[in-house]
Amino acid sequence: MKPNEPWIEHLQNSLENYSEELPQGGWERLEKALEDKERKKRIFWLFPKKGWAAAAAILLLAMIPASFIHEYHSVKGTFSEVRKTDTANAVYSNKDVVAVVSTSLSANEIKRPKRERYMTAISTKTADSIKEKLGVDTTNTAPQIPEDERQIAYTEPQKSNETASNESVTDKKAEEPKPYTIDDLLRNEIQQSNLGSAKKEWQLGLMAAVGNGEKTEGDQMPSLSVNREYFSYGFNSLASVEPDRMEHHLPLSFGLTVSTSLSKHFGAETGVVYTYLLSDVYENGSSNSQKQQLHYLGIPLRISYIVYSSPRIDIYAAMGFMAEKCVSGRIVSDNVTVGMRENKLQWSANGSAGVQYNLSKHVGIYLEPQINYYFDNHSFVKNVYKDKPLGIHGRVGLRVNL
Amino acid sequence: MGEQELSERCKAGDNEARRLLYEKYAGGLLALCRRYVRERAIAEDLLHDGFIHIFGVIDKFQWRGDGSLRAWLERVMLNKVLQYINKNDLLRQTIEISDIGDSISPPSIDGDEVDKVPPALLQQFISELPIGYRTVFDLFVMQHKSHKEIAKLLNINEKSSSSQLFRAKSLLIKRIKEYSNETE
Repeated sequence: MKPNEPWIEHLQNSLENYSEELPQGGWERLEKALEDKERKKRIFWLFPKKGWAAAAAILLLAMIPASFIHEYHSVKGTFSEVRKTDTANAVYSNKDVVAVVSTSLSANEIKRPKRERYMTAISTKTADSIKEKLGVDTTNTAPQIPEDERQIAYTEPQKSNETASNESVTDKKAEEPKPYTIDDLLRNEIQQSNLGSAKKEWQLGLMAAVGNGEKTEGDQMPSLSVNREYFSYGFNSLASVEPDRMEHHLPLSFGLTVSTSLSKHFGAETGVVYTYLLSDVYENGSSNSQKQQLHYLGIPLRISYIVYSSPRIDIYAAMGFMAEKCVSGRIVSDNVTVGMRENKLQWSANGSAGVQYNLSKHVGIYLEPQINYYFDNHSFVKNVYKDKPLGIHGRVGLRVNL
Repeated sequence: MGEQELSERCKAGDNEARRLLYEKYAGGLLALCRRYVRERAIAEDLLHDGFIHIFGVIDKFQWRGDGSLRAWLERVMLNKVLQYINKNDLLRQTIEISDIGDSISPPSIDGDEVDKVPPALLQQFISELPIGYRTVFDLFVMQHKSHKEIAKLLNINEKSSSSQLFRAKSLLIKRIKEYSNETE
């Protein structure tokens, strides 16, 4: 570019710091506009429709356990301290490690306080990691802990952080978790820098989930005989069924997931989810049930937020939606099978909090309690989605970094 | 409070920091708007809209040393102004009538004569130029854009940009000289 003539430079200097008088009430007007904008934004996210309110509530609920875990880790400080603590906790929960994980799938059966439950979930994984690292079966070493200490650990897990862990763990060198290796730290560095630069990371995953069942009784059952949408063809003996009672079994889901990072903390996930809904239909108080089998294929979309991340453990919260379509359905009695069809899409919103344990740089397994809200699609199909729109699902799965 | 802290607090949604940012920079940004848009009311509206936009995207700002915040704010505001000009097709509406022919030698004036003109008046002289002239003049002189960049921004050709700059300079020199003669 040509250098400016001298007079232009004088003009530039003269105007460089020139400023005009501020508009009267300019800031007040701006402040109000900004407030309005932010309020509208809040309202949009919370209450544009009834369903959004439910979704927001679900997210909030999902965040509570996640924040507990976050707090737990922050308070405990260094990771090695936490691992000591977890080892101590693992002692009391080790006997039913598998049971704890599996029972936490159906949350309605859990009686323990939330905080303890989640801590147990972590300790289970940590115990596994120690096992893996040391090649020691902690189940076998567990009885070496004196009975009184185990008692302390069991009744007062918080206290055990300071007492049982300090004493028993230092006594047993074999159980002392290995300090972090340089590889771990390096991996952490790489992960952090990847997160920092928001480099896209893709993950493929497998998931399985189980929900809660429901029993429905009374006269609210749809009249199957007049329900054209319900039955895909013809009238037959089943078409005149007037069910008095329906028992929905646990919904089972399996799926493939694809996820990617959006920024340092946020990620998105989609995929394909197959869900199987089985219900027993008892007509006119009969004890002979007919089976209603529904097969759904759904496409989920959700956003996740990483609350805590270390090379081994990731803790996250997520919310999203899923659109499902009934791809096949039938009602089966002893001798007759009738096809069913549902044309309308089934939408649901979900919120969850999950903890992922990274087995290696590439593979992680996760456990994720999920709350789902199923919007009424006003179809005539009677299923667990309609009888219990708000459901708790336990989800487990694995993710592979590409 | 330094630029960096101010921007960080604005990013965090601190209302007091927003007010400080507004009070510190709005005057200069309004001056910028008025070199393009003569009517004060419209310029104030642009300033208002520009600040709403600024606070909406301030999380994208990265501090890169002193002056970087001001430069960023000016860029955002300039985009707002150019959007307004382009959207309303103001440059096309200008009928270029000029009694100054394109001479071969560029017009010039002594720097001291420029210094004698109060900044507010210089600003007024610029804002009184036809819209095409003052737009190109400000982009070239105050925003340090090349004719190529200006052509792209305003969707005009480069030749038109340099021709409008030439005319803007000539008119401005004429006004400054008139002022000097009046005050002598």
